[in-house]
Amino acid sequence: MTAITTIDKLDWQATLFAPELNRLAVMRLGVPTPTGAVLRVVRNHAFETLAPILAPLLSFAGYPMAPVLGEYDDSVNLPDDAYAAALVWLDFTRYGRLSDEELAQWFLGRLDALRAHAGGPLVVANSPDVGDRAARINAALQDWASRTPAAAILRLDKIAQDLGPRAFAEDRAAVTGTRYADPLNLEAARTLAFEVLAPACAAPIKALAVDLDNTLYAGVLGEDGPDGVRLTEGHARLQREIARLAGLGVLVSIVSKNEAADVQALFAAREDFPLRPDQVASWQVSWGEKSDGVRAAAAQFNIAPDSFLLIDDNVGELFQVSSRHPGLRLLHAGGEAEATVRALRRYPGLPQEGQSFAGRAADLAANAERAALADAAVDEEAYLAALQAELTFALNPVEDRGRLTELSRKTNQFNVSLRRLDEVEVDRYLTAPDRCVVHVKLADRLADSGSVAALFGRREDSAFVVEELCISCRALGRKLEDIMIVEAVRAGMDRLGASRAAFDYQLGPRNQPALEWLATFLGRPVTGEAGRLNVPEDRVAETPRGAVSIRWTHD
Amino acid sequence: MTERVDAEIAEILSLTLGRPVAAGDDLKRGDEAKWDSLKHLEIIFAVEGAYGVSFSPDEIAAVTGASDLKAKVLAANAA
Repeated sequence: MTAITTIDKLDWQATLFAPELNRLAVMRLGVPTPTGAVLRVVRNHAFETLAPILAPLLSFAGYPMAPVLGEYDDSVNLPDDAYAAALVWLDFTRYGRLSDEELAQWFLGRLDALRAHAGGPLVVANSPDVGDRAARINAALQDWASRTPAAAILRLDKIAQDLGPRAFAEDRAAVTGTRYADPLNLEAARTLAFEVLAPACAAPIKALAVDLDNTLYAGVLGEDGPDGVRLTEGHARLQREIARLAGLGVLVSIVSKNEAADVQALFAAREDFPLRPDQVASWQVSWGEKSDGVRAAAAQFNIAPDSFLLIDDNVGELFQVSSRHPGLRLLHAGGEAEATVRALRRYPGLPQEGQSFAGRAADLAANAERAALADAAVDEEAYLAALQAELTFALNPVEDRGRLTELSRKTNQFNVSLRRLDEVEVDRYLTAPDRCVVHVKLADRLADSGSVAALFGRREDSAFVVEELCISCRALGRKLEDIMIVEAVRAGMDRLGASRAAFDYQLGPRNQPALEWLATFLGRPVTGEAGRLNVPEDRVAETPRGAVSIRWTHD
Repeated sequence: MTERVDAEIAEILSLTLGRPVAAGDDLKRGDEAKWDSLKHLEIIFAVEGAYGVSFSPDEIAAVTGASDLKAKVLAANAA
């Protein structure tokens, strides 16, 4: 099977982000069902016709999985085989003999058993029906998901509400094996792939690289001038969507082949543009290659180019940048701006409702001032004093499980062992008696960076073994690594009664900064692909807090 | 219209059954091992999505081949 490329996905964009999925159009993409990772479907009614639609959606999203269907089973038995993720797909009207309370109690018990049975995302499709009984089971499911690691709800009720009477085909249930009509099934597949599984499975998009001419507005700035380019309703919506994402902490860069002075004049003149200059964190405007512009923005943001989504109307430019930066995601802005907005709103990897990368842009803006402080300070102590950094530590904060998982999954540069823990694994560190987690938040006088680091450790004989250690790139460069890590290691040793410490490490494509820190900290080279290194006792004897304020909120 | 419907129904059958089907071929469900009950529903749903038609339960069961699909589409367009 030929590997699916970023360029292939450009061809799929219009079909997969259409206002309503069309089965024939999806079939025409010819995307084979992937082999390897399995999405196990536990169900009591038909799912077969969703399976071929899921393959291209999951492949586009970057986490291809093959749906494997169990037999129809009202009793929700535990699957025997291994799987990467599970979907529970039940028609709740089949449980007419149970009262609302009995149904909720029994079903949540089965879900807890499924959760305990295997790790990975566990998605439950809720009831699309209207009425008190459906509302009660859906409320119980929502509550269960909010307190269960790696659990999520596929909101069929919301999809059914949008579709109205087209959601159901009750009269055909005897023939099709389900009361759900095809439009409900198609949208359920898309929502599952692009929205429900994305927070657990998608590589995060941390930044946008946005073209200008015929992307952010209609027209060519160099030809039409600042007053001549047109802000259509679709382009206004696109700008508002980009501004909304900027508000959620997605870093926005303008990457455009234009005269820098013209672009400055454009944004000064066009007060009707919803995207304002202060929402753009990097301006890469020149006649050079756009791949160089993306590289420069990535360097400025201290992230890798594959964390970008490039939005451009020019397929040639998309190809050029993609060839230089493998893994970078692409959004073609050709055609109606409204179509670009639709794709951007659902693009897997961007923060969704309730998620936020807040603080990142403010941190970035403060970096120049931090650098000036470092230049002006006579030594490290003076720099930290001027920075007025405050580190807040929490031991085993169960309520931070989601963010701790994000740190493990999304941190690339300062990630010592690259274990990429999922929520279930994080939960084990939070709750098992031989494990613990330290969560670190950071603020300084320039910005509140929020959650920036996590250390996951386990007791093994007399050692506290740091099995996962991640520091967000936002917190790097402030000379705080030693303080954060030593304080966290000492707390872990204390909690688990260990007399010494060790670090697990693994070499990855981008975690050189973490391994360089480890080598410096231990005073010895870190060699080989992976291993475990003991920490000299004196390195963790005392936290080198200097002028940094430290406080603990848990335990 | 007829030629386009022939071509698109052949395409739907080809994509669903995973083998070439020529436009105008009256492929029969009974002659095609891969055309099982699940593929049958995929074919019906694809035709419904492509042409905005709706098959009743009896019509779903009564479809025995490409010609029945075509007849349904043409009848709906004539109405």
